[in-house]
Amino acid sequence: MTGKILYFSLFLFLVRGLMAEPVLAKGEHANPSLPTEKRTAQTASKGPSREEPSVTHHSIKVKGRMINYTATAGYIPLRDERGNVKAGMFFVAYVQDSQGDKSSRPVTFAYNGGPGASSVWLHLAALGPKRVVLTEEGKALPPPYQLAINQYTWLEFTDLVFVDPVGTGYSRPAPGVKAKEFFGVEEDIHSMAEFIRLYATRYERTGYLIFCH
Amino acid sequence: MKGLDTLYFATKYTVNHLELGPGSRGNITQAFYEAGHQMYTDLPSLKKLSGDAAAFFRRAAASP
Repeated sequence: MTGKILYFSLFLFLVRGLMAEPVLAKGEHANPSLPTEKRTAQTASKGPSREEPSVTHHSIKVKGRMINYTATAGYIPLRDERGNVKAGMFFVAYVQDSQGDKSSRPVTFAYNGGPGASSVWLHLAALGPKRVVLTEEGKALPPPYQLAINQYTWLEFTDLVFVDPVGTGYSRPAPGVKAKEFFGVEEDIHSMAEFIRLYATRYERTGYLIFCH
Repeated sequence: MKGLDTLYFATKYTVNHLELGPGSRGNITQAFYEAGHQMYTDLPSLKKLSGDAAAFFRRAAASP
């Protein structure tokens, strides 16, 4: 069960057991708090990284079966080698409620290509538990916009973490950090890999990871 | 059919030129959707995508 990678035409990568023993970055905690001087700077400039995540509980009926799940929306801070926050990465996670062993339940990290797009389409049109109601031709309806239960949500078979690449959606560089530090293939790989490592560590989902791009 | 930013043959070309060994080549699954690049805007394509993904996950979980 080591280093298995599969590839899907939708650019799905599956790695199982790769992060069986995650290494915590120096100074990284399960619930990271910033050093005092950084906290002041963050507060003054309304930086995105310190906010507590929002956690809510939901139930939907999909194909006749109830799915109970917990939605978590929040930020995970990316840090440089000195521990200073570089960016706040915004995510929305949907995790099925169960008493069983989480290690056999896949978790999918879903994101559109940065720096161009946030994960909103994957989130609210394709994979998520609710989707925006569109016309039969896939066009937007006039307001008021509506959400419907997504009968084809992937939550049926995997937990989902939607991530906005830095500079898209709600993910932003920290004050004083240039956005272009995150724009590019290598930059995208680094920030996304770091996010996945931090998320998997914080939420203890290190057994079974799937990446969807 | 794909959008102009994710060309059909460019995708096939990329997959065909990953220089994978025979052992890894079988790990690649490709699926195609009438609705193209934003296949989820079309309900039948959204349904197919979910089914394809579920099957992919099942195979992945079952393989050693």
